Amino acid sequence: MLKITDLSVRYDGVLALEDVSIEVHPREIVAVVGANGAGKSTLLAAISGLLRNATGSISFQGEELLGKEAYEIVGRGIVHVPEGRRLFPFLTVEENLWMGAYPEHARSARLQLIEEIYAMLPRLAERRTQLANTLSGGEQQMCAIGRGLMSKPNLLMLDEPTLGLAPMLASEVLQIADQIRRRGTTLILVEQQVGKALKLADRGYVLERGRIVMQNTGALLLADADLRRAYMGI
Amino acid sequence: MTMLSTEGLNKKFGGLHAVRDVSFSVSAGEILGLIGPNGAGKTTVFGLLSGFIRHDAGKVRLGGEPIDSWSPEARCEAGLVRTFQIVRPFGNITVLENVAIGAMLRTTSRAQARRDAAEVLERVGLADRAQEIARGLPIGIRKRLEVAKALATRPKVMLLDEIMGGLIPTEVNEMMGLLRQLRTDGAAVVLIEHNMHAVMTVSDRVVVLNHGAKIAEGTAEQVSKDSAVISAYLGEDYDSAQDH
Repeated sequence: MLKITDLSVRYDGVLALEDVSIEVHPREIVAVVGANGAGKSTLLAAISGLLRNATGSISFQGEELLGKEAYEIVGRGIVHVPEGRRLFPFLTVEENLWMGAYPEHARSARLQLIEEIYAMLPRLAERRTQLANTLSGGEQQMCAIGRGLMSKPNLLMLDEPTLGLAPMLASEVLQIADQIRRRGTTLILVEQQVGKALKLADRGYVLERGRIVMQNTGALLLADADLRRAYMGI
Repeated sequence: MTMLSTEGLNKKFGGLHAVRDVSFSVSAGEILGLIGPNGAGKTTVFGLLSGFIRHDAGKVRLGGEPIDSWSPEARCEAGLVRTFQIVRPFGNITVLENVAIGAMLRTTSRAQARRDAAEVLERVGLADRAQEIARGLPIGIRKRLEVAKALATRPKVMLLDEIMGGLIPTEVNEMMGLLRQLRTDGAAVVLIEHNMHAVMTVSDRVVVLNHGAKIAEGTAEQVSKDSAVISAYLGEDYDSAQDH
């Protein structure tokens, strides 16, 4: 579905990503883990067309994405839920969700989409008229995911959805990711909560200083002592 | 011999308890790694030690003497120097002149400061860049320049904040060589570093911060196997998830 080959990104002369190759198959959850500064968010930004300085290839359903504008990439069904939620703070929950339905292919389906999202995330329905900045952290994350789903993604990319959430809530948010997959959407999950993420994911990639240093099924990565080494350096 | 020590260091920024009850010390001829996830409070600790930020409670001692009320420049004169993660060279002057400014702390002669600066540049491997204007240099060079500026003040204690960020592997090795040389020369070095392999390899001892508090201290080997440290880096239930 998504095939990234030898993707490299430079910021200010520094290699943030170096020859990264990743594949994502339909209906998979693929986790991308790694320490701070490993390049996880850069990878998502490159896929979303937010970087001008990426080289290599990002092919989605056979089409090259590199060089395309961000809105064209969303139009192909790749949707990015950014780290830190980035909601419109002074819009209501429902208005935030409508903003997600901006792409043409989603706009015509928006009434059905919002019903589906409210059914899956009833908390958002309860809070539909509330301003986004009055939501709790967990609710904000759900709203950000809901907004992403309103863009009718084939591939949904979640960047640290559990950031700042208490462990129970973090598990709840990851359960939502699992539900989304069961409805047929493919996911890339960038996470600091390595245990939770790899337990959920079918496969995972470990980034260390801009390079893929390990890849395997989630379960086998969890069992591998090298994973701890990738984080701790020894 | 303990060169720098902290005792019960605390700092709050509004409702955020950025540094809580942090105590540690570093000796002459020792490299101490200060590690922890993003937002752990590492750079804030450097701010407190160097006097750029005032602590709310606790003690900082340099060579046994309390320096809590000292300004950053007084601390620098007493031999405590820091570098900045976001490097801050004077952009419009040369590399040599940048370093000479640091050297002016110990001499009033500009010629002497230039000679001292040239010597420091030799040590950090920047001699061939001496006459280049600092602005626009590649990041690897600017990082080394940041260290050179600090070294020129002839410090006893160096607080180095992410000096390896953006360096290529051979440059990292050179920087580690320089750190070992400083240790041999008797300096006390505290190192904040995201390059975990480098900091874990070069440090004699490692202090781990998380959410502003010290959660572990020991050799690199010890802290890398500490369950609190592993949770801080890999998430709460990494250990338990491994068992299933």
